[in-house]
Formats: sequence, structure tokens, C-alpha cells
Amino acid sequence: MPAEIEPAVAERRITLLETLDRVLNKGVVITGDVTLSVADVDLIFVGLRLLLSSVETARDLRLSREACLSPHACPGTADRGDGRQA
Amino acid sequence: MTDVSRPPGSSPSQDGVAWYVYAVLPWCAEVPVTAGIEGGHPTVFIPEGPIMAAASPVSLAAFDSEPLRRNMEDPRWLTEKVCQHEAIVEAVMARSPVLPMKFCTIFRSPGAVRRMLREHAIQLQEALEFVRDKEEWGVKGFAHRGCLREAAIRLDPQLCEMAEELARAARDTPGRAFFLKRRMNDLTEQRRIGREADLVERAAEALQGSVVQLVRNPPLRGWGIGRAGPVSATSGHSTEDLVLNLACLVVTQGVQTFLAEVRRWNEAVGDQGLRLVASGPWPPYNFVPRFGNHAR
Repeated sequence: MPAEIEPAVAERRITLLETLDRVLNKGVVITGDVTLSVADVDLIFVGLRLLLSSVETARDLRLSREACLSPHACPGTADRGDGRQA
Repeated sequence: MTDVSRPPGSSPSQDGVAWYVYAVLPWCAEVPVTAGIEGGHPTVFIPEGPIMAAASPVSLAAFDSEPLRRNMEDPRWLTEKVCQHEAIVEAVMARSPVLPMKFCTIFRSPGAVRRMLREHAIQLQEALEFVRDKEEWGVKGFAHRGCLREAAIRLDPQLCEMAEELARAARDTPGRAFFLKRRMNDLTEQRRIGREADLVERAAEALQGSVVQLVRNPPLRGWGIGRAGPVSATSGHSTEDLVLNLACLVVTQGVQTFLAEVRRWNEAVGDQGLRLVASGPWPPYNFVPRFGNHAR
């Protein structure tokens, strides 16, 4: 996803890969009632890697990510990074 | 704020509903209500003492263990749901300290969510206090391997000598030049690896002073992607590789100082072959507790 690699200090656009890495791998781990085994989580990376290896597909996904993080859907998110530059 | 309307202890398995928890936050009235991850159900806040969970109902048809495992094999479904999870956590983060949950932390009833909040109350409250007035920032380091190799040839005395020898051999003894060139390439690559590792260490050290905590994640964890992977960036004729993946917890008031440090690195060292790119603020995914037997 070359367009995301910009010389700016703070990336205005969040990379999809970073989001996936955080949401899937990090965060509070607590045993809920519905549980996924470690093997399940590892398995998804295979599919995702295949998907993301296509630049065109990755671009589409970034667009869909931007859509789901639109100011309408999520107040405050659209300002990520921008407001910090002043 | 919308409190959960379902009576605790109602039997959700009968109507095929479970509760997806996005985040834990301190009890407060000023949090936005956003659409949940499925079916347009709004996010609700399930309170327990001084903390509460941001959650929404999800269907067991899609989110019970077996269908979930199948859905997670569909990259498009997964990507969409991950982005929605993130958007909901970010909406909360805009107003409140937040502990983001790992993807698909799901309970059978609001009562089970409350039990979880009670069981881990002290650790969750401590963690919320810890992340209060702090932000998570990502810093990625991109190595320009061509640039690193050029610097090695320019600055390493042994390689300088070999380059001169090669120039002479190319003129006088082409056969020897062939082998000499191979040796020189091998040594250049060794030196390139050394320079890259050195710059990576120096970059992490340079940021230490402006962060509360710093986590060094493999670039990128679990993805197993190398040079040809999607984290390589092409600029002009050369390729950059992701070689450093940091998560930094920064005091909100110190974010400008932290970003200035990143900028300073790029101005002073960036042209030597390691460029830093910051992203954020993120919910503090890398700085939260990990309970239970699913920690990994």
C-alpha cells in the first residue's frame, strides 16, 4: 500500500495493517463465553495475507476502512493526527 | 448514554443473542452512542460499580464459536468487523480513558459482562488510571536498503579498498573481477545488515526519553511477511522495508515533543537509510492487562 507511506511525521491515514494487528493481536485479553483458540486466530492470518498481497484489493479495503471511520459513523476519528500538528 | 435495557440474567441463548464487548471505561455519562458491530444495534454501556463496558448485542448465528471460526476465514468479513470494532473504541476514546478489548470478546448475557467487570474490577480500574491522559502512538521504521548499502560502501574502509581493487581488476583481469565483485557484494550485505540493526537500536533509544512506555513488536507480529510483503513500500526505483514496529505510550501533553523527536530523527538520520513514520493516537491496545488463559 505505497500511498500510505508518506514522509510526513504523523501519518494522516491509518494503515489497515496496523489496525488489524492491534485489534486481532492486542487489547485486553479476557476469557469470554465465546472463545476462539489460538489456532483459529493464526488461521486468519493466512487468509488475510493472501488478501492483502493484492495491492488492488488492499486499496479497496482501505477505502472501506475510511468509509467505516467516517465522521458520521465515528465522531472525532476524522481528526486523527491532523489536530496534533498545530 | 444508553444503559443496557435487557434485564441481567435473561436467557439470551433462547433468542440467539450474545454481547460483544468493545472496551472498558470509567463510569461516565458523556460517551457517544454509535452503531454496534452487527445489525445496526446501538452500542450500550453496561455499568458495574465505577466502571462500565461498551457492548452491543450480536447474533449467535454469526458470533458463536463455530460460525465465528468460519466467518474469520473470510478476510472481507473479518476486515469489516475489525474496522467497526476499532471505530467504536475510537468513538469512546474521544471522550474517555479506555481499555480496548481484543477482537471478539463475547459474553452470553449482560449479567456475564457484569460478572467479568466485578471479577477484574481492581486490575481494570488500575489499568484505566494508568492510561488516563496518555495516548498510544505507533512508530514504524522503514529501511532503505539501497541507501544502507551505498553508505556501507562509502564509509567502510574494507569496502572502499575492495571497490578500488575491483575497478583495477575490471580493467586488467575480468575473471578476477567477477569473483571480487561477488565477495564485495557479500560483504556489503553483511555491513548493510549491521548498519540497519545499529540504526534500529539508535532509533528506539532516541524515542525512550519522550515516552512513558515503549513496546517493540516484531514487524508485523504474526504476519510473517518479509521483503515481498505488503509492508514494503516502493518509492521511485527503490524499496523500503518495515524493520521497526514500536508502540509508544505517550503523555497527551507530551505528544508534540514526541513527534518532534521523530521529526528530528528523520532530519538528522533519515537519509542514512532508516526513516520513521508515526501514527496515532490509537486506543492503548499495547498497554492493557491480559487476563485468562487466552493471553498470547
